Amino acid sequence: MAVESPVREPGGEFVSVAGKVIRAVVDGLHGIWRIVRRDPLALLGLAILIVFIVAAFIATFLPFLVPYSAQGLGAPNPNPADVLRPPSTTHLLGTDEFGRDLLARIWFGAGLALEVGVLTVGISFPIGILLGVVAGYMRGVVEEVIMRVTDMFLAFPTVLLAIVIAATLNRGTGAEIIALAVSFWPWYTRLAHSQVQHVRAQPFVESAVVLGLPRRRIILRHILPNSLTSATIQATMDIGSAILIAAALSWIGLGPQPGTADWGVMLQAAYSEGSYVTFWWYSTFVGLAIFLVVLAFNLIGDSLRDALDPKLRRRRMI
Amino acid sequence: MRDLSLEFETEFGTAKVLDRVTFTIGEGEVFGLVGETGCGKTVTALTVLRLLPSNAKITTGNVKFLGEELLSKTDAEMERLRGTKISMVFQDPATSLNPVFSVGEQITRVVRTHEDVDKRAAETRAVELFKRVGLPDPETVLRSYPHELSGGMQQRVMISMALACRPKLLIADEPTTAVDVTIQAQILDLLMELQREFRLSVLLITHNLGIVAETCQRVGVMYAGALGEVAPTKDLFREPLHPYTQRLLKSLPRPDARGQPLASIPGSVPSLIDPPTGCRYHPRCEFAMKSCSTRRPALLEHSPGHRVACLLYEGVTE
Amino acid sequence: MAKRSRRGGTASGAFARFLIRRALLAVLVLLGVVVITFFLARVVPANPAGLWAGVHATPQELASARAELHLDDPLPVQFGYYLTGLVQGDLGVSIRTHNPVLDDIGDKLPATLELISASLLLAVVVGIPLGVYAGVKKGRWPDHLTRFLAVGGVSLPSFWLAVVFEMVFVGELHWLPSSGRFSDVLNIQYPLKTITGFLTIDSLIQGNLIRFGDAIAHLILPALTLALYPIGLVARMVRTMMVEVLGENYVRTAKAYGLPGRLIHYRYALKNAISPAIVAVGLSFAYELTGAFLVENIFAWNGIGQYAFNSVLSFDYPAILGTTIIVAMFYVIVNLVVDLIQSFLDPRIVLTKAEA
Repeated sequence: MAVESPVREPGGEFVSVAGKVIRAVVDGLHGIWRIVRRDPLALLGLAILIVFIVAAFIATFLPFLVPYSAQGLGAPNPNPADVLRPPSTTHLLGTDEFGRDLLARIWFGAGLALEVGVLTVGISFPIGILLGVVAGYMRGVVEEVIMRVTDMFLAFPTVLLAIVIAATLNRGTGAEIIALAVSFWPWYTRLAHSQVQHVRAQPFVESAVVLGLPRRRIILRHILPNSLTSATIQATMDIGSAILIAAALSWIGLGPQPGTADWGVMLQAAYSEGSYVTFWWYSTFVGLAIFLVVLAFNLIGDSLRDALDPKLRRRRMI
Repeated sequence: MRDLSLEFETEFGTAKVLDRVTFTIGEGEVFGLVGETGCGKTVTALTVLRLLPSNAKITTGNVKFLGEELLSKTDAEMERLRGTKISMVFQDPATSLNPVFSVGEQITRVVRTHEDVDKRAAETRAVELFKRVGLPDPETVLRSYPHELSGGMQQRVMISMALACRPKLLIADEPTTAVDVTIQAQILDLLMELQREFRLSVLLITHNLGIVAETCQRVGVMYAGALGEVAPTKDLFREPLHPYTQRLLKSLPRPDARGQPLASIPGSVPSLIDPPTGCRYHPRCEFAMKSCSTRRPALLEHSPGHRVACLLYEGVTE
Repeated sequence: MAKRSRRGGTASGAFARFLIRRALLAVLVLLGVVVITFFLARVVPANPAGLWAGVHATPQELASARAELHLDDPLPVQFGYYLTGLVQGDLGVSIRTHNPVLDDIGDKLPATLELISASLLLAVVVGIPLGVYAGVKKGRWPDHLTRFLAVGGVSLPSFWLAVVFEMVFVGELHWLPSSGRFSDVLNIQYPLKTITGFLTIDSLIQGNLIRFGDAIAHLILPALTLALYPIGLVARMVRTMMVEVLGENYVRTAKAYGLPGRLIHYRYALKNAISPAIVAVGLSFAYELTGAFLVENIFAWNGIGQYAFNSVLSFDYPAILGTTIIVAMFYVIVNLVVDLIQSFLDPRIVLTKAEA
């Protein structure tokens, strides 16, 4: 965000600001690692996450490395001997109703799930933060308008809002992402707003004002970085929540078409096969994949919050 | 209570907070422990009550109370002892009283934990105690929350809680530091009155030599976790032996030295993680000898009742 | 939010001002919710008139349906109609069920409230002790274990868990009765009068223990599924606050006066630590009104979640609007109640005005 703001001396300051941003990101990652390193549960989360990220990377950019093709509807007339087989040495996690390898399906699904989670937060986070910081810094009418609109969106239950929006748009992954982003942004606005209010009362901001620093500079240098901590932690966990809600949306049929390697869609297919106990591997492994990814984000976020933001700022409206 | 003796020879893991602290407190005696902030006075007090934080480790030494070893008691035995035999008045009454319970609830809870009395009787006791410590309108105070009382009143409540179950030993940790200067003398007088009335032994922790002079029979001077000198108060003021004590006394404002700058001690308090070898005071000591940095002085009796830990008095010369 | 200050003579006046401000804000927010939902729901490319008139409707019937639903008027005019009705307590008529939306919601709300109450009760009863225990044992394995359970509970897809529960405990093991709120046979054999709409309470009032047991048996799985999230939430919040509170001076004081550990942890410290958990439980209540929709669907729990779910799928916009407004109202009210409870728990907080 800092990079995109207009600067007085385009060349020099831009480079220096960009350098600072990169440095801040590196410092941030290093700081995260220092916290995660000491916490066995966060390390577990990180390990799970790395596995899924690598898997998603391979599925997206090097799909030929995945042993079975998992896209599309599979063979037109699958060999009945291959359909809904329990785990075996050829199909480690068993096969689905079209005789496709379940591991490969879940593997491809990982890419989709991470995409939904990251894009949802990637869209709603900057928008929400920007609105919150602006509201907190400008005060007056601007603040009232932004915050009351935020309150209105907050009064919607996240899931219902996402469903209504997803139902409004054409079904698909894109609709899911938009629906989720619209439901998520007000949380960041609320968080950033209260953080800014807290930070601007701090002595170092007051001294910046006393020193006559320009407003934009105070926002960028002093208020924004200090407001970002808890919102970032929230965002980490929200990637997990987004994946979870997206799976629910797909499950009820508001996601991509049947046949897509989308975890929610797959769970729905497993559900409609009937007996969970007979075809236990289908529901179990897909559900486990969702659980593990969401768990990974939550474990990391939880650890960060413990270390950085022990007050657990409450989510609330009005 | 006959012969109360307290002995410490403790050494803390990485931060050597206490280094072989040894002293005794007689029955009905007021023993002062003086020293700069962070020299280990409060830790000493918490060790007596076995309330050290979990990272603290007692490496050597023992604490005896009425002939019984406190450090080997079970947690349950300690719980019974606290409040009834040994009690404590804390430095900062504002944070040491639970903010969400009325003070009446807190004091009656202490009484009812240790004695088999009903709520009514406990309240009567509380009201009597409040009267005794000079709180106006004790019934109202009983129903007040800590934040509704002034600092002086909070400390009086604290004192009555500490004395609610007639302890033998009262540890007062800087009981007047957090209250207004005008109230300090009142609180101190009250403590001394109650000391005589209840025949209490008092361990008075303070950084104020003036308070020591007024109230204590004997005094121990602490520096960087080690006791430098233990003596009857009169002797200490008449004939301070340890160089640190001498400097401390010089730093007191004196009526006969009006107009002259106050003396201060050069240098600063050493780190306890890596304390100076030998005598911990030697880097700041004006009489330091070569062997001071290698040999640790023992706390030896210099004259009856007057003990000092300094190589100057061990007959060591260059 | 709330301002810390000494209690003064003007406290009640400030409280009244606080309430009025909050009520005005609530109305404003609700109005916003109505506007957003109304226009959002009307963007849906659906055919409400067709749905209303039925599959085999004639062009005449369709036209009269359009007229009846004011579909031919411009959107703002339609909104005017809707708002007029709303002020009179009329949420319109469901296109799908042809019942007044308010009646539908009134029918289904008790079932959902019963389910949510049960799950939040579980959250409090399980989550708080779990959090206290973890906080006391900070950094040791009970803490890690409870943390893992809590974070795990938050990470489980509830609709998946519901399916697994349903298929294992009902479908295979037959330990619990199949979905729904009651067994049909028992409903005929031992009829129950509706008093509160909560089957558990109604059966108790009428001394009908068979129906009570039946209601509990039906309640267990959906309530447990729904409870996992708030249990994790509450346990984590209580744990974090406990860690903080246990480091406070007043806890040391309580120890110095020989108060037993259990009393200190569960009474002295917990009362200081519980505030965010109360908030979490309160907000979960409103959240789960619709958060329950998938779980309600799987367990055929005929509540508002299932109603909302079906309404969305059939583009029944008066029903969507109605449920959203009701849920938003719960949100606003619950928020207010949560603030009041907080001020009751912490006497230092005096409610003066809404968040500055």
